[in-house]
Amino acid sequence: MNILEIYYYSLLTTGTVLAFLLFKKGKKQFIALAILLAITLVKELITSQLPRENYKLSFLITDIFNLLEYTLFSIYFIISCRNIMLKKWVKLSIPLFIIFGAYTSVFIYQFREVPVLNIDLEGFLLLIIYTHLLYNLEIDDNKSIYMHADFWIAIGVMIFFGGAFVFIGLLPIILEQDSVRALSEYGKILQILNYIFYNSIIIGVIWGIRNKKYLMV
Amino acid sequence: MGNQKQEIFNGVELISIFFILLIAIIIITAILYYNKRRSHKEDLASFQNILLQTQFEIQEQTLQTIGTDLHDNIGQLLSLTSLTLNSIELDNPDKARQKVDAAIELNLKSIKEMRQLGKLLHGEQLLKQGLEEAIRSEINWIEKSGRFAISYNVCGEKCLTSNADKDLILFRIMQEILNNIIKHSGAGEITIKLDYPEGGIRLQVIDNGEGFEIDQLPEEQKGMGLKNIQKRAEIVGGTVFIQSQRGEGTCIDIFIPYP
Repeated sequence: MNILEIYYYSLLTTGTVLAFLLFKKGKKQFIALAILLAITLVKELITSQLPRENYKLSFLITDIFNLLEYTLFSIYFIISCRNIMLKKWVKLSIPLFIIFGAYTSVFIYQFREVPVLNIDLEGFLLLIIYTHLLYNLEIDDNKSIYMHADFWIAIGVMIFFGGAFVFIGLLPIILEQDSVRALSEYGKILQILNYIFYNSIIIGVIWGIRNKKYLMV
Repeated sequence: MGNQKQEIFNGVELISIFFILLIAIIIITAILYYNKRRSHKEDLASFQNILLQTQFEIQEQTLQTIGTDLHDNIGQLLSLTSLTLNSIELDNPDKARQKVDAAIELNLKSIKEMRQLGKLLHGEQLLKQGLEEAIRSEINWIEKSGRFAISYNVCGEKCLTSNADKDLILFRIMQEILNNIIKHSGAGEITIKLDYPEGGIRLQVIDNGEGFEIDQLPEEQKGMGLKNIQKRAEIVGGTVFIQSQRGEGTCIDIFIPYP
């Protein structure tokens, strides 16, 4: 395990613990984030240990993870958002996305390749709902926007899924050209986006805890 | 073939970067939007603060006027009444009659003054009768001192809709200017003009006092008076123009968009 991997797993562990603490302090939506970060940690640990020949299992894990990721981010949004209509739509989108994702994984990708469609659809939907969350934050006017947990969560999601959206969408094209280079660049981009994403989430959770502390005093 | 591959990779990278920039723009726009919203709310809170302070100052000024008037005017009248009544000699009915009449007259004058003072006590009503009338009442009190000759002109057509907040602020500005004239200018004549140009209201206060060099005024002197006037006019989007020179009096011109 190299230092970057240790840093990455530490980010996930810290995020899980802090999100769980914030949930314990009464912020219900953070249970979704705590579960998601814990699942991500387990998934990353398992897939990093899997031998290359076991790629089918690796893709199966990735496919299931995508469905869980969308579900948990949607639950976080549903609890945070105040727009009832949008909440209903997002609730409805969860089973639809699960059906769509399961179908493409089983019948189109058959656990042999990166589920580009699923990841891009997930990214597209999360980008829209988290842009809405970003523009509709319940802000205390005495505090800066940077002190708001949802601000950091929203920009983390937007940067990660927005940043990966085009590259993942066009991945099949570049895989055809040079699969080794394509996978290497895919790995690098995801690594950078992952660091931004989880750092942003941790900053958000820390602000959430700090704000909660002030409220309790 | 190699070049084509490179071009495809470059193209994908370029589109990805473009998309990331788009996300960055969305995020920056959100930050700017929240900052603007916050600063707008701060401005609003500061406006409300100034408005409250203005109301308080007007009430304080009214109480001061009442206090002075009770002491200098009504107090004197009642003392004189008391003295007159005390000096009545019952064995001289004609003189006693004269003194009783004088006491009655003094008493009636006191009642009249008290009534006027009572009107002033309803500070909020001062502006309910309109800015023009409120200014007129203020002038009446100052004129009573006999130290100033005040001319008051209203020109132009008054707006059909009024703005109570702006009236309050303009009235307080005028009080502040008159206070400065009374305390510092040594003026004997004051001219007040209230004008209604299109889309605004203009108040001009001119005095024939000592005047001053604006640039040479020490900061602490600017503090309460001129800075307050400037700040209050600005908060309602107005402008203040001060013209003054030593020995040549002062002209303060305030324009406020109205209503």
